[in-house]
Amino acid sequence: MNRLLTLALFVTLAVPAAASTPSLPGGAPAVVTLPPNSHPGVALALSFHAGAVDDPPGKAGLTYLTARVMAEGGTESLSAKQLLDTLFPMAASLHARVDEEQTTFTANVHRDHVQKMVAILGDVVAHPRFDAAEFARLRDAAVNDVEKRLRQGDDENLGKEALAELMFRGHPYGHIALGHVGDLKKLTLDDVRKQAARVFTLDRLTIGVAGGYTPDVVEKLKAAVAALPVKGAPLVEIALQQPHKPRVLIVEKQTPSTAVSIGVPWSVTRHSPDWAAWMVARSAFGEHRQFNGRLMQRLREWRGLNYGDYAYIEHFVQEGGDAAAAQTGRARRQGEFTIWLRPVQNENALFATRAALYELQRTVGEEPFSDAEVERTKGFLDGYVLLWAQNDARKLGYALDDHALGGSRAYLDNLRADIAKVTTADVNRAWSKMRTLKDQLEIVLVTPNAAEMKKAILANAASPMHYQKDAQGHVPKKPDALLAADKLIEKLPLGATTDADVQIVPVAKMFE
Amino acid sequence: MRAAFLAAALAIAAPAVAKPVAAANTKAFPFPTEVHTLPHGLRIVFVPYDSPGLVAYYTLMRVGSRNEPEQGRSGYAHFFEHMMFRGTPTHSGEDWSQTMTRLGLNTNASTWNDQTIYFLYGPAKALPTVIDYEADRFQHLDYSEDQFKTEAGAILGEYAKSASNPGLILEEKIADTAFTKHTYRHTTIGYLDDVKAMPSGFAYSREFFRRYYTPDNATLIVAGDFDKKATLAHITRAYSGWKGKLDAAKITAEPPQTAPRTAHVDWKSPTLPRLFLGWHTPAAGDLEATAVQSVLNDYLFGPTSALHADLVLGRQLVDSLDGTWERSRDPSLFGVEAHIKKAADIDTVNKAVLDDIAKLAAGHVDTARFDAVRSNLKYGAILRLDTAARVAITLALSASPTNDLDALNKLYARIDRLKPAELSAFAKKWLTEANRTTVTLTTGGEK
Repeated sequence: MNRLLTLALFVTLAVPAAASTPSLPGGAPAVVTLPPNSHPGVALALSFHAGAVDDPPGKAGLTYLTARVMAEGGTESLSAKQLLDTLFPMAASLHARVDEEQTTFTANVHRDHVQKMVAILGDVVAHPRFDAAEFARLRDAAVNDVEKRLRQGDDENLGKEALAELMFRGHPYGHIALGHVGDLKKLTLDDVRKQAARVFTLDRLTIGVAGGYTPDVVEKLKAAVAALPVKGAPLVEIALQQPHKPRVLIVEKQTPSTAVSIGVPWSVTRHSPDWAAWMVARSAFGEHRQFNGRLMQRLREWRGLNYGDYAYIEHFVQEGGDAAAAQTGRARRQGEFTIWLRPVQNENALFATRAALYELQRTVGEEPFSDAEVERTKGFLDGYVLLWAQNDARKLGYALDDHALGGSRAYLDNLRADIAKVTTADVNRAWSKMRTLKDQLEIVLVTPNAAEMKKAILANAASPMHYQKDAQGHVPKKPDALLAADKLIEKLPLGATTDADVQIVPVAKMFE
Repeated sequence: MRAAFLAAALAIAAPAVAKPVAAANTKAFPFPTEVHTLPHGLRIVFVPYDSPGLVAYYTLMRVGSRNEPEQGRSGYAHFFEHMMFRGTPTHSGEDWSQTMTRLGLNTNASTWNDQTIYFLYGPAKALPTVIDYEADRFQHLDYSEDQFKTEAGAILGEYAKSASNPGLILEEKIADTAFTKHTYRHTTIGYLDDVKAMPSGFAYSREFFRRYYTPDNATLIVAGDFDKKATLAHITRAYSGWKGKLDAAKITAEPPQTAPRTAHVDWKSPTLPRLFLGWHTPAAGDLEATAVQSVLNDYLFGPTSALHADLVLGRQLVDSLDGTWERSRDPSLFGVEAHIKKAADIDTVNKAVLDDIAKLAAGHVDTARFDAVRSNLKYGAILRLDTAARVAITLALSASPTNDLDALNKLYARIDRLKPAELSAFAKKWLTEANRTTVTLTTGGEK
């Protein structure tokens, strides 16, 4: 079944948490505001229904580069240097975030300077400078971000981004927002100008304002963007992606440890009726950077395999060190389930991957989520969800995402109440979808000796757990039950049997 | 019995109530704070902050990788931070974790050169349980050798997650070149060989706990939505039995550097060439020098600096230019790291940086940019303090180097009085050739 997930994008339904004006047929932008408060800071956002899905064929990364040239390359009235010189004394931030379907220009500024910032933000999108020298600099930077940083300096994100492309091959999400090196190198300033006119348009725009602002700010921001083109290119249709082969992608790279990413595209989204049950199951299975999840407990705490092991039910990007960081500006109509294992010693790469699959199998087999786990996790989320939207910029981000995804309910406002109603039976019933999905998961390993790894996977060779030894060669003493589980895990079939199930790509060819 | 004990503890605590360290909202840390010190030395700081239903509970221990003078023991302050989650005779590690989970708390810890900070952040209603569990683990930590050995694997994993980034190896080389005696010579995660040898260090880890995890080396910060009176009573009761006195190992001072030093890292895979330049400069205890460095780092290397305009925007030789400096307990490095597009340009970039510093040392200061940096610091401080957690971490980090809870306000007041000429004088005195460490990193011997 190839169900189309195309949603009415400019819904007229109000988002209860925020005042929300629907966009008009004439192309006036939608507006999402939070009630003004007495805080010293003001958060401004211009959120466009535009992203990597709008990159034309052969121009992967164009939307990202375009947004960056706009945000950093100066405006008609301010050169790039003058822009920095203006923002810096205010300690004002101005960033563009580009995801698959959403590009958000955000500005955070002290209320002393909000009027100045409104004018600048408006100029950034409506009157960008498109300076040739800045374009050249930022294209170099974009190439280096992929060629030198992602490929060579960040194995975990390399694995995660490779998984994203693997899962969504042939889909509009099929290339990462940062783009591909070969394409980026060919982009021209003219491409950037044309892309801005195609996708950064009034009919795709939602204006957001929160914090210690005065009511005139909204009207002024509307006026500041009025010169944008009224209508952009038609929105890209997002078809539901089906899982497909190969089962395993090995990104071959000389590295002392192996990064592991596992995932599958699926139809579950924030609008799914079982979302709260999924949320509880996800957290109990692998909460991000907390210790309560089964993956974290059993891979790291019981075995010392690595630094952390987590699971996600929607696209996730780690930013900074804050575990409870908000995931905003990445509203997506197509969902995904993923598992992230922090790097493991190469000798344990296959064991760790198998251990994650083993634990997933147990959740839909011998060891469904227990009442105690569900109750504990519900308690956790009831408090933890409060941390996702602590400041005005985060609250605004969630309100904008609600607007982008449509629907009638404010996501965060209802999530805690929804979670409170979930029962253990609900959690295990929702999670039972894993019975099918566990065999459709795709796996990315960033590791050296790819040919050897491929051989081991296809032969289903045993991969015993290697515990870290002390100076006398002793390993920590482990309970018999754990050692017995190790024996089962080391032979767990990965589900790859034919040559085509395991693909090897040298790192230099990734995102080329 | 409990009530009687509580009354006694309060009586002891009462005389130590300090005046608020900051009252006027014009200060860099604008929130009124209330400080209490218990007889055994534990300092408690309350910062009421408008975050309805949320509270941040941070424990600052003034111990970090700086406190690792013994050969082969680099990385133990950080390793020890991990062990703090392993439980006590009363509450096992699993109990601690499950209880904090059930309460909906964000829990973690971080270790750096001078301090280790343990944080819990979440619903205010969790506070009583948090106090009991935190008081218990800081006083009665207990773990087995097998738990210790297993956790060593997680540390190796933490090293592994950064090892694919040339930044970690460059950092190791910088520290090891610029410092010859002082413990800033190694990074916080520790040398890889020491990390690999950690499973054999059980006894040392217990000794580490005895030396540094004492009430007189701890500051407890509670920020957000809580009742001060009830919280103080509860904390006083729960922590009153904490034993021990700080027994710090001696840290050898770094002798003055007398000649320039250089080092190179040959990286195996393609990466942007990197150039680091750093100079030994005074520690946070020197308020003048700290105020100057706070401004000077952005003045020389920030987004509106002359070097950024020339090397990043103008000639476009440099992909990114980042000043590296932070307030530290002992003299550390003031520096800059450039990611350069082509290795052939390393010398050109090096010369540009040195020329710019020479100009400053000769007395040329752009006063408009000097003022812009000070304005940035002021507004940046206000805008950053927007959650209870950020309030707590800001206070913990600012207090750590000198143990002064008012350090941030004193620093910003000094920055207000700073004169452009002080930047020049500082550059002339400290940013000299003899005091300089230069480290480069390129791929495959490329130069």
